[in-house]
Amino acid sequence: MSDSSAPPKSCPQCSAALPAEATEGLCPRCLMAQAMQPSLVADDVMSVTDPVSGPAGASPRGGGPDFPLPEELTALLPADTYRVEGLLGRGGMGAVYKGAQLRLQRLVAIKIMRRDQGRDHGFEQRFHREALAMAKLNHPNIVSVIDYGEAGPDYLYIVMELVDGADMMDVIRTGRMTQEMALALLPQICDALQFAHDHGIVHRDIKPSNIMLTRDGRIKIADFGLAKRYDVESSFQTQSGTGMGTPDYAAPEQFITDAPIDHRADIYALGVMIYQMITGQLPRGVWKPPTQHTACDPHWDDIVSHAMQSDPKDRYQAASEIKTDVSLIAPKCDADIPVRNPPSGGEAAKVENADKNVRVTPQSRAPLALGILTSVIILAASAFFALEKLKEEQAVGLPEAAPQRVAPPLTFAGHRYEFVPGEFAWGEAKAKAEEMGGHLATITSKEENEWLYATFGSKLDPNLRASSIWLGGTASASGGPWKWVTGEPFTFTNWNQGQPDYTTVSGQSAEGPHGLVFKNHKLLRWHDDPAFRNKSNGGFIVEWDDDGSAKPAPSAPGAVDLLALADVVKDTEGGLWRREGTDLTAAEGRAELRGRGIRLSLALPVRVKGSYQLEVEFTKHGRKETVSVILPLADGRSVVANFLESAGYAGLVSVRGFTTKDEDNPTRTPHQLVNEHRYRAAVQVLLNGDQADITATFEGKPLFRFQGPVADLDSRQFALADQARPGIKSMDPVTWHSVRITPLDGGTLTPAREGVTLPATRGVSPN
Amino acid sequence: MIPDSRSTPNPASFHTTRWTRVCLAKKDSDDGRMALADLCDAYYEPVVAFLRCELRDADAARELSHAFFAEMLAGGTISAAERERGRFRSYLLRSVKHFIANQREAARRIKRGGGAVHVSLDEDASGGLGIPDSRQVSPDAAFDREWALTTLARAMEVVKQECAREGRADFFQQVKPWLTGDATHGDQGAVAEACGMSAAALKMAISRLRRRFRDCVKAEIAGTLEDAAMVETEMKELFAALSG
Repeated sequence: MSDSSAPPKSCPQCSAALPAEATEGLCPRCLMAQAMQPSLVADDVMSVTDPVSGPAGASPRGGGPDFPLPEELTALLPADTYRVEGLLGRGGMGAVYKGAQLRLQRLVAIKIMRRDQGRDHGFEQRFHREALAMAKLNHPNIVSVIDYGEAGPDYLYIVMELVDGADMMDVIRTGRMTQEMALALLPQICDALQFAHDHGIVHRDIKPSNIMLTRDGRIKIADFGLAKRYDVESSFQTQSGTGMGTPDYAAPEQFITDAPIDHRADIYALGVMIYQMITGQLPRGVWKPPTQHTACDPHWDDIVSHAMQSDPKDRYQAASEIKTDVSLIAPKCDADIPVRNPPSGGEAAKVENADKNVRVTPQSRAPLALGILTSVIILAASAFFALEKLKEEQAVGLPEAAPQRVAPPLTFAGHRYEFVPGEFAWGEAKAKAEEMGGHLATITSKEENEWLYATFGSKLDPNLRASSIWLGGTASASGGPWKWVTGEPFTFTNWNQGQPDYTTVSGQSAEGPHGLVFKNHKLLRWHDDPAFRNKSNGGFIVEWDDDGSAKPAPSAPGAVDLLALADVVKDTEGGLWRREGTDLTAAEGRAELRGRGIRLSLALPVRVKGSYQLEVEFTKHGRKETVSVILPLADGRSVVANFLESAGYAGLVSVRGFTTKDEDNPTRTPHQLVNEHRYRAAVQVLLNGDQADITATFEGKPLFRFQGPVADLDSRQFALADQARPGIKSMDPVTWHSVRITPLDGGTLTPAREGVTLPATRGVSPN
Repeated sequence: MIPDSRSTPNPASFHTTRWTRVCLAKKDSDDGRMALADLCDAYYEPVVAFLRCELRDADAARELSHAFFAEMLAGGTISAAERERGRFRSYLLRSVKHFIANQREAARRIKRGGGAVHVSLDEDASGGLGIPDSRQVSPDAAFDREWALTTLARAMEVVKQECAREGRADFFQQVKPWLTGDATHGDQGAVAEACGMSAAALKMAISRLRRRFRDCVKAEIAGTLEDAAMVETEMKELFAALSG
């Protein structure tokens, strides 16, 4: 689920790549989908039971012109039974309100529908039948129906359990869905579907926004059997005023008028949803299997493809079968030993050999793994809600959120490895690995070879003979000699004599140069790739010659540890910050600050005057977004130093008005960072009159430098409230391990607020 | 494909159900001919897309499209028998297939000295190259996809021009991303501010613009159908065409 190379321009609505001929630059498919909505639909279709994260600006309480106000609806419902409190959402077919069931003193969701739906005479009968059937469906993962009836002459109502949570679409949209989460949620979803199907109820509109995630990490399927069944016989047979389903999740038979729709339509939709959970995208057109989108277990490919067969007969025939196959995918909790469990049946035979590299049997791992998973999900869920709530309240700094789960680094013999998915030529992969502070992986022992395959072999596409992952071996000219990029001796031999599929690398007569790749035939295979200049879509493995464990920064004498002085409540200007030991972690911030490039910002509690050096150590967790420090300059001016900006550049913002998005910014430098890697960076700011000399180093190497008038530098909207205070900021979660400042050349530090006491050292005024 | 090359609709003629006019017009009537010319003008690009895919040659496709429309409009004969029931889209595709079949036939006659070789277009849709390429869309799919894009572009143009006439061209530019849905297209608050509206007013304006766009797409599609009740079916097919 990590992001790969820079994505093509894509539709923010459906994530699909925008075709060149997009209408007015908009996704034609989404435009058509919008146009397909019935004309009478109110546009603000919010998820039904989501009081937390409805779109801002929706009518806060009223039903709008089309639906009754809460107090009007209260009057329409049976006397003294419910009190309707506010509107949760409305759609083409009706509206959902939040209310209280007075006698039992509990909160409920009340859904109303117009009675004149499409002049469909069977509508009310079906509605009653469905509501009755639904009321009998008592399952922990299904939103339960409490009551139903007629609300005045114009409406029918259904009272349902109110789910205190968000819907899964929010989780996917905000990039929080992980494979681990999918593994924990899908069995519940399958159970609920199987249960309903066993009772003869088909949902017909399974999609992430109908899957509610409760605060304790459980799912509940909403709108079960309701939305679709009573409209019209076919979900997509629209007449005026009746709703259209969600075409993206609809099985092919749902597009055919009068085709029989059974539970296998839900299986199809579930397949689409799984695809979206794993890849973050919808499978459209000739879709690629999930493994080609993201580094994930190859069995997702099989599951998705099996569920999404066009002919219902070819699909899984029961939701429970999907659950079985999903349960065979082992979570990668111990990241150093990925487990490839074959699904039952024929697939098992195909991958049998590959599994010889698995060191721990699935049986022995499963219970432990599931235990861990459950807690991960609950933590993830509570973190999600804590953050969502925070966003709403615009509050700052409560320690209730669960800690971010930081994956342990993948290490072998004291070296760290990471797989980077994406399409690269060998030379590009080599350059990117070096930008990341490491190098393309080299293999110098049989054990390392086996470990790498056991760890990264699952990234290869088992269905594609050409699937390959770049490694750091290269032959500079035809016939070799082969070399490792690190200069280590290239002593690779046929370590695995008994297994003919292990092939040694030898000089080839094909025209060089070559890059070395991992190949997936039946087993790991070393192979030189004559198509070196072609891009491999399998990504690469980067290796760092250390184990990534925290290195205390050798900081300059006189450095002041600013992180220890910072206050996660008083000093934050955006986002939720937590202290964990000596680290400060910035979690999800305020979306409305996004335009200012801030979202997660903290003003360090000192004022700086004159020259100084700022050293930071951090680990980023989020997506490919901005990580920066804010550097005070002279005369209340400051400048932002980006170590990473979303387009993959470092540099100062802004220089003569140019941000790091502009080529004209002289400090703009291509730069990539990876998640869960502890980086060390320093920026030296030397001020001399109206001239500045700013040098940034990253992992001990020069990153960029600016020499020129201070007047050329201007952070404008990116500035903190007090421009004399240095700051740290990011767009996505980052853990800051240390932030130290050292006054240089007569520069001075003073406390920026009360309660800050600086150590007495050169250039520092203690208070 | 150049989006600009899709012709922009004449707003005055927008709400006329043009295909109905073609269908109802008496043979060789001026009214029918004009209505057909209108439609052909509007849906020129799908034919080019079809021929480009069929011939694998962009220049030849342009040339042949030109010849096709010239012949079609010169003849102006849409007899009831030829008329594919209901849809201009099917009619046009059928016509262009006939046209190239005739062209090939003629070419063969010349080559083979008049030998009559019957060619079924349906069986030889790849244009005789015989190289299956899964990434290559079929000419029919290319035609339908371009048709769907043309429909959207024409509807969008109407909405855009309406906004421009009301002096709201900037508003349209700012707000158009939300025509695709509610996903994050940027900061709505900032847009509201830029347009001098409250957040709620902006939301309402977006809602109206969407409704207008929706109506325009439906009207545009209805214009190519004999029976307006088929709009939903046609939309589903166009949506499917965009999914390929």
